[in-house]
Amino acid sequence: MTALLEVRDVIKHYGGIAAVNGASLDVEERSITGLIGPNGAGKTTLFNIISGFRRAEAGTVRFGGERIDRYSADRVARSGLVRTFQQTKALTRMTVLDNMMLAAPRQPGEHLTRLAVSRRRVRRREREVESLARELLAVVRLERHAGDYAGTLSGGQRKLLEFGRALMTEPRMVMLDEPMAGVNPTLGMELLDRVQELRASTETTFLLIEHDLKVVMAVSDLIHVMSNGTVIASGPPSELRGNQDVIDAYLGKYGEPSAPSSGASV
Amino acid sequence: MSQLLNLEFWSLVGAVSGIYAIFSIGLQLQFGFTGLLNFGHVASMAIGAYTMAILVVKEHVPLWGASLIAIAAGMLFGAALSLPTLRLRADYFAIATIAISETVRYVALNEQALTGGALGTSNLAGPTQVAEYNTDWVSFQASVQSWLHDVVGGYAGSDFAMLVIVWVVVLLCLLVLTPVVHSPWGRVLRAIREDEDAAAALGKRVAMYKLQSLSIGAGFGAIAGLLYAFEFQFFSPDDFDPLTTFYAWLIVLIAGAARIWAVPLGALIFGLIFSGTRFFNFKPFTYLDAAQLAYLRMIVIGAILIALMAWRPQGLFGKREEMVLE
Repeated sequence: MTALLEVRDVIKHYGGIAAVNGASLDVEERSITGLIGPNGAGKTTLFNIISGFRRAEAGTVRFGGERIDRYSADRVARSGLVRTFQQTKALTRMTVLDNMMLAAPRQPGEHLTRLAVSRRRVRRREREVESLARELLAVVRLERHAGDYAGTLSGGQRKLLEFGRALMTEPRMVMLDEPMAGVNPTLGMELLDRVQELRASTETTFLLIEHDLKVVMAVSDLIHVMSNGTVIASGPPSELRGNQDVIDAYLGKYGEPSAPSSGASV
Repeated sequence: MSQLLNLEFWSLVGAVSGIYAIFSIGLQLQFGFTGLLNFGHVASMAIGAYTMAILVVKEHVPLWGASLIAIAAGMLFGAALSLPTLRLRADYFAIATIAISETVRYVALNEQALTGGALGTSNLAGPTQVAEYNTDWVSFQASVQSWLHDVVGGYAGSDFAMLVIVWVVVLLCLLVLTPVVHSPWGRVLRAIREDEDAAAALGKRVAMYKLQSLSIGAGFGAIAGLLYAFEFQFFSPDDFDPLTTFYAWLIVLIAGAARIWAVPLGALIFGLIFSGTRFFNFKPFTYLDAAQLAYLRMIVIGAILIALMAWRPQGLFGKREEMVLE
């Protein structure tokens, strides 16, 4: 059958430069798929297009068979495809618990009319959401910080919070943009364990951008390699290890090699 | 010194502070909770006041009906104000709002046939007759006054009646809004304030929430406009210059962002600073003439506000932590 996420021939320019230039990729349902490539390859731009934060000039994005490339970001999220950001977006002046509870779907209290007429249902849903949020906070090891402002968390903890918050939306698929960056390695490995557990228990699909090749190779079923705005290779980790195109992309034949931690990818 | 102990005078100060409190509650919702830099809030006040006065004088709509329509008009205006926010980022939105509020004022100034122009509401029915929109209000206020007279005795002048009415409305506004801002709906607003992309990434309809916040905030502005019109029995476009918006900003910043119940206190402090500085009639101030005193008063007001902000940048009731978090 068709893949859960199908990206076809997406093109996006910034100024005169093609950030994404005819990229196509598939993400199978219940898979953990990696997206790698050197800085400036267009990974984050592609993420932005898939998640509705940027509009592609050409190409299509299908999620669960549905065209989503004209959807606004919030509508993409409501259709079950949720993302995190490379630069974390913790809602700093809200508590960690509020960050989590915010993300829960089906809260009638978010609508003014229903807030006025069905107070009891709002309260009941709040209780459900709170216990769910606390469970997930335990999963990402932030339960002790539930009452703290999210702005007091470290960079790594914010990554974890964002991950937990994305899961609160009950997503069908989660796109993680460098979930390990800034997270201490032990915690990072735990996070990846959670990804694998969740895939097994809730059948959630994951697509992750990650710079640490060893990590991506270890967790992904399938990996797409981007360079200069296109997907130059796709396959299971074992196949990609010896792929000359991939080696060239990383060693600089396609683009200049650059420092791995710079924020050059838009 | 006699004015210092004059109940009528302080009733007036209290009533005007209350009107500013309602006005600022609207801004608190828009800025404190949703993060929208609305520098044109006064326009909602103008639209509320003018809609009511025009309907009463020209269309002979009963006062209460006209007032309800005026609040609806204010809310509609607020909703329309959200259209530029769909495209503009914070600071550009701020510029747009101040331009829109000035546009509203200039329309009021120049559309003489509709608004009475620079002569204000007394010119509403045309130059030959003096128009009054507040006859029904005056009789309502008189009945409140006579009721108060029975309760508290001879202190109850008409200004005192106005004071009581205004603060009852303040209380009602707070009681309605408090559960709303502490609801899941209010949580989405705060999320938009913190980072609207994050809110959108979690599936929240950011544009719709901004529209609701602006619209409800403008509704409070319109209520304030109505009370302002009733309090002074006459108004003109000059009453709705940008300074009025910035008074509301002062009140919100004195009170502290995202603190609903602090707003009336901020408004009272604002009222005290502005009227308390009228009593510089002791030495050494008596060496200055009236004009010099007036300037000195403005300098003192500025100094007090600067001192307040230096001492408590988060506002009197805001939380310091929230200032330093990034």
